[in-house]
Formats: sequence, C-alpha cells, structure tokens
Amino acid sequence: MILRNLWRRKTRTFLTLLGIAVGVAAVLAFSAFGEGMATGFEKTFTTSEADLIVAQKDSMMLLLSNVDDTVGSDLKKMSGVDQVAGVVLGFVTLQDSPYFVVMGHDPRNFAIQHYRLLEGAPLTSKKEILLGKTTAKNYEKKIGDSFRILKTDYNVVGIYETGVSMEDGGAVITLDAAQRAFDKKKQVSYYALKLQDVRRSDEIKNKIETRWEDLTATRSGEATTQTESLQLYRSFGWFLGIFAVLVGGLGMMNTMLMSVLERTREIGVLRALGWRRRRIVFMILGESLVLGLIGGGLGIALGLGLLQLTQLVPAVETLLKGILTPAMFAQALLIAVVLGAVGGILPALRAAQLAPVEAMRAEGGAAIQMGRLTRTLARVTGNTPLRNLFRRPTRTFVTLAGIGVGIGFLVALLAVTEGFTVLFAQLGGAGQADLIAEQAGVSDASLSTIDERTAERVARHPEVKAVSKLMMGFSSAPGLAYFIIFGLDPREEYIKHFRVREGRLIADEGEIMIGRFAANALEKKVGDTITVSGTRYVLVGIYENGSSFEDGAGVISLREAQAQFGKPRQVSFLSIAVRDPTRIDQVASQLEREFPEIIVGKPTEFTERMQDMQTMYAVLNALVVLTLIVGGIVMMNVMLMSVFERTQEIGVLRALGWRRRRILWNVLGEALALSVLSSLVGIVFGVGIGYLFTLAPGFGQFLLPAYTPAMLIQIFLVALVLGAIGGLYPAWRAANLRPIEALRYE
Amino acid sequence: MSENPIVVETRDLTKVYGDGDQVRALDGVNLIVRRSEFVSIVGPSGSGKSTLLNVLGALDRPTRGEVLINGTSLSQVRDIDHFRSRTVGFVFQTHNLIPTLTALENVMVPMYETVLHARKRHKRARELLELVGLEKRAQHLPNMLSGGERQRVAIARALANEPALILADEPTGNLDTKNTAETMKLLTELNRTRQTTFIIVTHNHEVARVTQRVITLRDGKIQSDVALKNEIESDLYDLKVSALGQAILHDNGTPPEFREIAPQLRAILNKV
Repeated sequence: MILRNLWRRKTRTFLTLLGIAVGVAAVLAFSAFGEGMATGFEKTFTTSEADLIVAQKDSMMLLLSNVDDTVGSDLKKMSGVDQVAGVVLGFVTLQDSPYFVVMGHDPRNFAIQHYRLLEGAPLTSKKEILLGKTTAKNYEKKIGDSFRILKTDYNVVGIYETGVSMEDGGAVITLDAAQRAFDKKKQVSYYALKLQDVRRSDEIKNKIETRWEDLTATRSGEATTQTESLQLYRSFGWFLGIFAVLVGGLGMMNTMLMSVLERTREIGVLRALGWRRRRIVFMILGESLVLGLIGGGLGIALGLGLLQLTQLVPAVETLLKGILTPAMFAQALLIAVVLGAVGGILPALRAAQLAPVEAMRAEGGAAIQMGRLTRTLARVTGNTPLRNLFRRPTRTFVTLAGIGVGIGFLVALLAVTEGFTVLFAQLGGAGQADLIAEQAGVSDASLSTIDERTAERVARHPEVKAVSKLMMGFSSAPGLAYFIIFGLDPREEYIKHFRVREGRLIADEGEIMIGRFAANALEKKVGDTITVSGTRYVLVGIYENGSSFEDGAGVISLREAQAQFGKPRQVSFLSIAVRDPTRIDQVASQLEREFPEIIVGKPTEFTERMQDMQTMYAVLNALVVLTLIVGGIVMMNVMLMSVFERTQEIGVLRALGWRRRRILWNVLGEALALSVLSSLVGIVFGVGIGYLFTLAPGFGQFLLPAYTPAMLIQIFLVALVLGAIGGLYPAWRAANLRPIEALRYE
Repeated sequence: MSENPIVVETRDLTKVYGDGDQVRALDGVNLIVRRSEFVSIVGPSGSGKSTLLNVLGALDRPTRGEVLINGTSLSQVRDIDHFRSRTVGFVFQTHNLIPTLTALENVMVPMYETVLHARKRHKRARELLELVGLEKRAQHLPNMLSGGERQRVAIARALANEPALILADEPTGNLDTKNTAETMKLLTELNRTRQTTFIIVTHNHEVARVTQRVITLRDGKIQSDVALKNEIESDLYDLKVSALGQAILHDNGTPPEFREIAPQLRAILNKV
C-alpha cells in the first residue's frame, strides 16, 4: 500500500527521490574525498618501511615540520636504531595540480625502497627525478624527458608506483635537491627510523622525546601529528550530511504534507473503517522512510558515478583519490533514513490528528483555509503571485526554511571566505603596507618562503619606502588547535600595528606577546612563560587588534621565529610601503618582473591570487552548484504541486480568456517570489551560522565572517536562478494545460 | 425576436471522442441563436450538452462542422484566448472563483487581457458587483460568501468584458431552491435589461421553464427546440417532457384514466 501511494504521484515521488539522491551523493562523494585526503596524508608517511617517524613537535602537519639535520647523526648513534633516513617534503603548484607533492630522499637510504620502480633506474644525481605513475600519465612524461619544479629542470629517470594516490601523483628528487628547492638548508621535514627490534619502539620513542624536547616520535601506522587537521577533512562529510538532512528533510516534509493534505478524505475513510491513529502514523511514516531509503540507494549510485567522473580530472585524481569505506555507506544510508524520519513524522502526526468526520467532508484539491493572519497578509500583498504563496502557509514556510537553510550555509561559507580575505588584507595592510609579497608558486600561504636577501633587494628598489619582514607559522597549544606564531623584527614598522593593552611590545629575543584571545585560551597573563615547540618564552604583553586572526596568535622576534620554524634567513611575507601611493600598481608589476620568485599585490586583492584561496573558491563554487541543483529540485517539486492542485483554477482562468503567457508568468513569478523570500531567510540564517562558526572552539577565532554587497548580489542571483530552474517546467506545464481537461479535473 | 442579429450559428456540428470505440457527443447539430435570446439546453446525462457548450465557448474544437460567433467562424480566429475573453462569458456549476482573490478581484480576472488601465478595471468590477447586488461584499474572499453570493460573483465575472454571449453550465447545480430562484431571477433580469444572450445547460426543469427557448439534446442530436411564450405554454412543455406526456405522445403505456382524452392531448402537446 505504501509503495502504491508513492506511485500515485510519480513526478513528485521522482523529484523527491532525486533531491534526496543528490544530497546523499554529495555526502558520499565529499566523505570519500575527505577520507582519501586523510588516508593519503597518513599513508604517505606511515606505509614506508620506517618503524618510527621523528618530526617537529606541535607542528600542525608534517609538511610544516622542520628538523635540523644534525639530529640525524645523533639519532643513528642511539642504541636500537638501525637506520635513519632524512626526508624533505614539499608542496608546489603545477599547472592542473595545485597541491603537487615533492619528496626528497637520499638515494642510498632505505626509505627510498618504498617507491617501487615500474621502469627506468633509481636516482643517482640531484639533477634527476622519479615521477609517480599518475604524474607521468597526466603530464605525458617518459624516461629521458625533463620535468620542471620551482624553476629547476630535472631529468626523468624512473617511474614508480606505491599505491598511495598522493605519492603516485607526486615526484621524488634527491634529498640535496629538495633541500635546495624548498630552502631547507641543513634541514629535513622528518626522519624515518628503522629499528633493530620493533618491539623496542615505545622505549626508543620515549628516549627521543626526552632528549629532544622539540621533537616528537610516532610509530608508523599510528595516528600522526596531523590527526587534528585530518579530522577536519573527515568531518566535512558529516557537515554536509547535516546540510543534506536539513534541506532534504524539509523537502521531504513538504512532499508528505502535500500527500496527507490531498488524501484527507481518504484518511477520514480509513479512520471511519476502524484504522487506529497509530496505523495512519505508520503508513505515512512508512512512505517517507521508503522514499528516504530509495533516495539513499539512488544517491549512493549517483555518488559512485560522481567519483568515477572526478577521477578523470588529473588535478583531482592525484590528490583526492576518493576512498570508500563501509562506514561511509552506512553514513549515507543513515542520513537517508533520518531524512525520511524527519520529513515524515510531522505529516504523519498531522494525518493522525484528523477527525474522521471532518476529514471525509473535506474537499480535495482547491480547498483552502485561510487564517486571519494569512488573510491580512494576503490583502497587503495584493493580487500578485505572492498571494498564492499564502494559500498553503505550511508548505511555503517549509519550502522557505529548506531553501533558506541551503542558501544560509552558502552565505555563511561565503562570509567566512570573505572574512579570511579581509583578515589577510588587514594583516598585510598593517604598518602602512601598500603591497604585500608572497613566494610565487606555493600551494599554501603557510608554506611561503622568501629569502631575506630578496627582502633587502626589494627594500633598495627606488620606489619602495620601507619593507617589513614577516614570518608566519603554525603551532598548536592546549586550548588552541591552531596557534599562529608571527615573527617580526621589533625594530621595523610593522610591530606598531599590534596594540598592546597589558604589558609592552616585545623588544628582544626570549620574549613573546600574544593576542587577547590566545591569552584567554591559554590562561596566561603577563609575566608567565609560554613554551612553543620546545622553546620557552616570557610573556611580556597582551594585545588586542580586533582581528580574530591576530588576536588568536602570538608574536616573537623574527630571528627566533626563523629558528623555530627552521627557516633561517627566510621570511613568509613582505609588507611593502611605496613612496608614491598613486603608483602602487606599477610598482607591483615592476617588482614582480624584477623578482620572479615572489608575487606582489595590494593587500585587498592579494588573497585572490593565493592558491589556497583559489582552492576555497573552487569548493564554494561546487557548493553553489549543489545548492542550485537541490534547491531547484525542491522548488520544482513545490511548484508542480502548486500547479497540480490548482489545475481546475488554471482551467477557469484559461476559459476566462487568460493567455498561456500570462499563466506562465504567473507560475514563474510565484517561483521567483518564493526563491527571493528564501534567499532573505537564507541570509538571516547564514548570518546566524556565521556567528556560530566564530564560537567554535579551537579554530573559531579565525573564522570571522564578512559581508559585502557583491556577496548579497551573488546570493540573490543564485536564488533567482534556482527559482527559474524550479519554476520553468511547472510554469510550462501549467500554461499548456488544456482548458476543458483542466476544468474537468477534480 | 427574429429581426435580432445572429449571435451563434452552428453548421453540422459534430464532435467525436475516442479512437476505437467512438462516441458521438455531437452529431450534426445545426443551431441559430439570436441576440438577447435566453436559451436552455436540457437532456439526459451524456446527451452532449456540456460538449456543445464547450465547443460554443471555443474551449473545445469540433471534429466536423463550424461555429460562427457574431458571424466569425471560430476556426478562422487566430488568438482564440483573446477572442474568447472578449465575446464569451462563462458561469460554471461550482462557482470556480479563485479562492485567494476577493470578490472584486475575481470580477477583474477576465479584464487583465482586455482592460489595460487598472483603475478602469477596478471601476467596472465595482459596477458589475453593484449590478448583482454585492457591492458590500467586494472585499470578501470566496470562502466568506454564501453559495448564492458566490454564484452571483461568478455571474458578474462572466459579464466583465460585456460579452455577446454567456454560457452557463448548470449554474444552479449546487444551489438550494431559494438561491436557484434568485439566481435565475438575476439572469432573466440581465437578459432583459442588458440584451445579453444566455445559453444555459441544466437538468432542472424549473430552471428551463424560466427561459424562452428550450433545446432538448439526445445522443448528440437536437431532439426538440421549443420556444416558450408564456407560463401556460411552459406548463404544457413540462407536461410534454414528463413521463406522462411521453407516454401519451407515443401511445405507449398511457394510464387507463387518460385513454379517452389521449388523442386530444396528443394534438395539443404536438403543437407545443
């Protein structure tokens, strides 16, 4: 009976299924990517033949870890350690591949055996490179070709496979070459250790960590230091899941409410025939659960198809090999079932509450009940498509909520991205900076390194007034998942940007000042000591800049920061003041021409050129498309229902001489009105979520939403397109109803 | 009456439904209705009454034959929607008012395509509501009106574009006796004062006898077409279409007490 009920309104059932399926598919695909990303990271460092991995303590990712290469020989001398291999790990941006992994290995070392050669020969000189199987395929390279990384050409001597997508989509060069390419002189990212006896790994791990306070040792296969950031990737799937449940659940509720409404009389008959309320609840709930499950099944199929498709794009293939786990399918199905339950329970209860006699007397189709409020509102709106929305206040409300939630998430994400941009502009724009510079070709702002000599040469440029050097690095501390450390030269302009409320600015080494937010999170006050990656600093000042990004951070002297992050004589960014403010653009392009190793831009425009922001924008675009699809489906469903139940009325209008075109515009207008209202709801909701984001513990302080008019326009455009997508087909269908058939329709 | 211009003329009007099992809903109907006539169409269910009305109102196309409204053949009209809104008004059995619009707005609905000035629309709608005696109910929504009031709004709506012809399909079908009488009184009045031509389909002989001309359809054909000049004639007509009248006319099952006067009655009824 349940299936037959669903079969009654095929279009509606189909659209509802489609909506659920798209949501579930998105969850599945994103989870798979997140998992792929996470395991990709983990496997890259844990499946090599190493027993222990030694890296810098508190560094957020292995990628950001730096270990002095003097440690290597000491490690080797430790009892129980068989072999030691230093490894340099770096990301570069190549065409079609924003995050290209390059590993530096000593060719004589055990760790390089991890790369099984498919063809060619092992590395012998620093001019040579091994390419992963996927890299070779995507860039169409074979043995003997040359391959360019960070302005150096390497000779391809071999092609390897490891089975780990990030490695197969990357490349291996010699340790020397990598140290040079990534400016890690006398440094490695981490050490891989082979032990004489694996059973002693715990003991050796403790020994290492006691001897070097700033190092951490992890067993292979164990959760690595980057767990926390990987957790973020993994939670992305769940985040989208909630999104899907909200949007899809509301869409489902709409479908079921409609279904109950148009079957009012029938439900009355069933009750009169002796059905208990409970049976009615089960029937309606059953229908929505069946919808959810079928939709979930379709969604899984769709998600798998989507993953297959994305594997065809080289940039995605290398980095985001989707990994599917049984848990993920369970998650997708769980979401689908929750969706069914959420969407079905209210309509089911409503159906059960119907009094049999009244229900039987109810007219199907065009019967409406207008409350006093609705009547008043209807009078205010006049004879416009808006009025039709008041006919079914519940449905309109549910639709508004559903689409509003979708758009709200979009607003929040856009705002947070915008917030990042603003923060970054503030950061670089401080100390009267007209321009900021970052290393060219790096995938992530945190990986940018500029040689101090370049800074000096920039400062000597005739049009440049002053240059401030800025180092930025990530650490973590109890209570702060991301503790940003800035390194500044206390004598340069930039430091004046920090407005100290308690204590004073740092003046010398061994001192640190931290933002108000960090002070609260770390529970520190002036005079306390703070340990960052094994080094102790005296807290001399607490500042408040009003920028959450900075107020959650700490500032130490540039020299110490360079030592801390293993980047001697290097900085992350340059903040540049120009002599003639009218010539900023010209100076920027001049500097870029003279110094090809950096990119230079105005603080406000700079972030748009940064690779990590571009990645963020790509994700946002994907979400916009997703919102359009899901929202469009929901909208179409609602409008079809609306046209459907007004069939007779449309027949009357046609009989009274309304043209097709007028009917078309009427329905389309209703859809557009609905979508514009939804976007208003969405904006309010989004601002709410944006605010909640900032409350999230750990990283919330970095998410400062910012709202711009352009963003609002974008949102309205999304809403209008959504309305058009959803409204066009129902409108067309309404316009093409044949008058007498429509009139005869019950 | 015969000097009035022709409003509706049909020539060999035929409508066939279905492909295999064909149903002849209309079978060669020839009909002329002149201005200010008040015609009722009666007949059993499935006799083709509604089909005729739909075809006359350009809602449906005939399989064969022609409909001329005010001398224009419907098959020659390019913008049929526009033509319909200007020349034909409809009253339906279930009033079919738009539930979200007030009485006044409902009357304005057909004028969107024809009267471009909002203020003019508004003015004319008010006048029409006054005409049907509902000026005080202008701002009410349909669900706040009684059945009779709703039907009067529907009649005002049908008059909106001053059509040459108003077609009504069972206009009193959902009304009680009192409201039926009132509605028919309104229609008769409108017919008399505004010279509007009415064609109504009805089951109700009480309703049919109010009209001047009664057309009986059977199996898609015109069985009889009777002009009623006065009440006596109406009563005679009622007798003719009644079971008793039919029995006497066809001399089939005439009750014994009528046998003697049957020939005389037959002669009288045949004249009606």
